[in-house]
Amino acid sequence: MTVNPVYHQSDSKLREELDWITEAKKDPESFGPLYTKYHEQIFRYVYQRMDDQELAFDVTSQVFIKALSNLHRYEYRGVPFSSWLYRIAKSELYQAFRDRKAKRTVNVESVHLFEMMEEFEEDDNSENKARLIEVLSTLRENDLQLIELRYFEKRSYREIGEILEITENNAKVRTFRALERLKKQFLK
Amino acid sequence: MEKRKTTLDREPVNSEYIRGKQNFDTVLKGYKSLKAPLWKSAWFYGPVGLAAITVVLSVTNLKEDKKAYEENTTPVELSAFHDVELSSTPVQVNKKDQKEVKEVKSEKPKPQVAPIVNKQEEVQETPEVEEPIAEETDDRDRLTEVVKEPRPEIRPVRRTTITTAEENTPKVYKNTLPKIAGIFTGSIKAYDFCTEEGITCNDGSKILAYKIQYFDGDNDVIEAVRGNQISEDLCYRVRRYNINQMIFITEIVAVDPAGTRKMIPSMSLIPTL
Repeated sequence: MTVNPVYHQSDSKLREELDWITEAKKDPESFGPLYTKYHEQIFRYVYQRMDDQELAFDVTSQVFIKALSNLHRYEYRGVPFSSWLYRIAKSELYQAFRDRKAKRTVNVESVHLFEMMEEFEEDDNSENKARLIEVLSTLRENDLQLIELRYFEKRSYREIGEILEITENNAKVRTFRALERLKKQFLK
Repeated sequence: MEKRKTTLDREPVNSEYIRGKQNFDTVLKGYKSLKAPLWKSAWFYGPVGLAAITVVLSVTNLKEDKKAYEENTTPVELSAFHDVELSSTPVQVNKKDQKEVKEVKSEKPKPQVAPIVNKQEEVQETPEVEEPIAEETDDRDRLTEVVKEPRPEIRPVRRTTITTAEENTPKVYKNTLPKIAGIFTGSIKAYDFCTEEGITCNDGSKILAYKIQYFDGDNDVIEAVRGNQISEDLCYRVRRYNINQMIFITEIVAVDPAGTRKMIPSMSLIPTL
């Protein structure tokens, strides 16, 4: 599995990011570099889970506004700033589903389906694909979230742990169990 | 949550397009509008609340002081007494007003009536009054000096009617209130009026001098008194001629525990039996 390069950064990159954060805490206008760096990532995270592109841009902006207004509470814990942004994005996303009546969407690519079929040791035929799409749409939200983060977005367990505020091992265990449940429903 | 929508192979969004949609100004604007206004924050209500409470308390206090002061309308304030520099100079009474000078030396505590020495001479020539008052007030055996000044007609006049004399009037410290037997103004038992403690203050200040206006059987008179005591002679006249009549004690000069001399509010008392 490929590794997300924006998440796995060198120490110097993390220090640079920390400097930006320190500056932005003093002067909100200094938040610009962080916005530029993470805007696309956060947008893709949001847009992955909804259908309306404009609304996804709106939610993304809202994520950065919230981040900026709560920046004084941010504490550096040796992980990229994006982990904190993802947590805000998750919260804003659910807010949008509630308030703006946005439709929760699962965006799947054929290649992801193929990888999952391999995982399930099943044939990659259209019937199985359709079956898997149907099962995905009925999967519990928590399980779907783990499947999306791990198999569709290719995030490391460490990053998943940071986003979901759980340990890396716990992320691994929960993802395994979520996949087991998906497989069980698929084979039912 | 309702059943979610699943999309297969949605057209990917170009990175350039996403970058083109970046607008940090919108974020800053949103941040500024999201920021709670100052008047909604606790930081605002702390100092502002305290300031408001202070102002309200000050205004209330000032009103009470003013009311108490106005209730004790002073009689005509003699310009002569304003000239008295109690700190270092002797009592200097304006010659044209001065007709009769009484000087009483009273030693407290005293079992019998204090001897009264009448002198038909000008105060300026009196050697005793050359002594500074500060020394006398520290002494337990205080010297009480009475300068009796009969006036042709005495009518209570509010301070506002005084023009030139008022300009020279020292500032009245309204937080220091004089009292006799705990009474600042109003009715007082004649017995309490002649208490050994004399005139005291609510804040521990010592009375250095005062003027008392009363009826002596013939006329309304104003006596300038040094010290805080009310002499036996004065008590006698008050008991005899002033029952149920208002007595004014004005131009009360006091020294506070820090040593600051100040003019404090006047008293108006009605001795009763």
